[in-house]
Amino acid sequence: MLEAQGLTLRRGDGLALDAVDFAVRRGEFVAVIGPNGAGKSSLLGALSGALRPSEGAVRIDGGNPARFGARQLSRKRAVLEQNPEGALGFALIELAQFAIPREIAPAEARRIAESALEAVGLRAMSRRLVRHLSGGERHRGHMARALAQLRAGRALGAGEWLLLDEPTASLDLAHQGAILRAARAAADEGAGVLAVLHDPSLAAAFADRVALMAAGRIVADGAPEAVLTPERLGALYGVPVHIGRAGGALAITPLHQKH
Amino acid sequence: MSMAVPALRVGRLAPVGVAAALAGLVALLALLTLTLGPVPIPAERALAALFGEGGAAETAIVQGVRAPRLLLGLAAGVSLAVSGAALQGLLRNPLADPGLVGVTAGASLGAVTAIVLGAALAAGLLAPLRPYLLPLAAFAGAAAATGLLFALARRRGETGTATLILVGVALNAVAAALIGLLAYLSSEQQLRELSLWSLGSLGGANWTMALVAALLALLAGPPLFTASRALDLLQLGERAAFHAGVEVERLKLRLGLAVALGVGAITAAAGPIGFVGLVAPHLARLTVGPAHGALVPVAALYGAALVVAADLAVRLVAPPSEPPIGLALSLIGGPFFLWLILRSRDDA
Repeated sequence: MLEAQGLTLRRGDGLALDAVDFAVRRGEFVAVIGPNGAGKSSLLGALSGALRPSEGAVRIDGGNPARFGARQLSRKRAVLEQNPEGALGFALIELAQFAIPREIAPAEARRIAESALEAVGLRAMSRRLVRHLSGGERHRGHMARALAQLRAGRALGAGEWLLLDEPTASLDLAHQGAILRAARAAADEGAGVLAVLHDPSLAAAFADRVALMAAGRIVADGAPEAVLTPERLGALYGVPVHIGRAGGALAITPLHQKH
Repeated sequence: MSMAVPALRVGRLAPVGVAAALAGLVALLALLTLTLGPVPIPAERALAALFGEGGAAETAIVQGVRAPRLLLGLAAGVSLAVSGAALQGLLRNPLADPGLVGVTAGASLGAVTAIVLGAALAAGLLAPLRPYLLPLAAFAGAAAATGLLFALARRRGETGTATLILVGVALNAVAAALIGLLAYLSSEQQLRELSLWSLGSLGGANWTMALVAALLALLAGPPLFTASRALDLLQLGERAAFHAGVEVERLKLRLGLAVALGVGAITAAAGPIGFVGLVAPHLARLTVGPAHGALVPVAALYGAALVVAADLAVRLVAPPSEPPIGLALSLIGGPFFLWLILRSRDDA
């Protein structure tokens, strides 16, 4: 289990997270959605071990992440940061291998990285320099880096958690689907996946559970059909929302007014 | 798949080939350093003299003057280049040269303090430790400057070029002011010593000095040469490096101390030598790419070649007088730095 109990995170004189109770189980894909500033990234940061709780507790597989070193944590969970960047002078295949620990033999590391690139649709470009890729391709390259870290962790007997902070930002429709399918596949292989998403339709299409956040709290948590109601989303975002069905999937449309 | 995985090249040269070519170049330059000078000694006899089998005069020149100078030059080149590569990796900024960002100025301040107030300081030290006073003082100054740099130049794990250079300007200015104050307080003899030292030269090298510098630089080596994976990961930012398993604060402390030790040891022995830490890692990056596993050792070889070549040049340009090597390297490094700034401006 990846869980938070009474998790509070102070930021300035306010609260980024306010006594949050939350858990992700193995094999489960949980999407966190909510307006800007609701505390989604803070929740992900605390669960990943990067941010220390002001109050309450975070547990990864029953242990306090602050007690694990960075190395041990990196085998348990992989993280895709919001707006990942850097490594411009490296080839894509090198980026995909970046977070694979040295304990993995080079040939095996290479195979893991290539299959991660395959999963995000970049296998054919593996020798291109990151510098020469588009913004969306770079983002997918970093997703491949996180997937490869997860698989490497699994090869070392851990690799249970995948945390994604806005993995579909800056991607076109087809690639949004490809990235979330790769995350879905990781969940189907047994990892617990937590993804911060902006688009409720994407959350409904891929997640087993959706957690809705507002002002540092989780205001609803459950199956997409149960959580994503026009009333709730309308109140949360302050925009009227229409929810329909298209080919079996929830289609969530904000009803914006021009004036 | 049964297909063999081809070696990764990506438009770069193979590191082993580059390293072999550079090692050959360094060996050639080293041989020239031993043979050329006011008294030319043919290579064969210079090598014989080096191993104590030549004539008395030649042995005195080679063993007493040229060999320690060569050792100091090699140590300076390797140490400054590797320190530059590590700082650039740590700060995620290709313009981080120990000289430009103030680490060398900190080392200088420490060394000048030891020169001017040295008698008083040395009295408190055991005799065998005295040759280490200057390097230790330089190390302390460099460590303080590195700590300040890390603390001041970073915003949310990022070090912008403008902030970095401005913090460097500030650290350099403060160190220069304090050095000026110490120079004002110093005796005439100390002042002469200071002004010679402050231009940067390998000319004063003797065995004690060269060995102490090489030994301390050697101590700084293992942390710098073994951090390549962590330095690669740091290029993704500090948060992402942590996610991938790097203890970021511990790494910064370890590498910061190693950089301060290397730069301190060299600055104490040879004075402030700028731009090697900038030029050598850049040449390495251009030839073998940005992965630190290849970059750091290749930069070390470029640094050694650069310093030994520059020292050879200043010895031969107008004998018997010798312009300081610091000046020669600044003449090469200054325009190079300008070119890098203009290039990075085009990139952005």
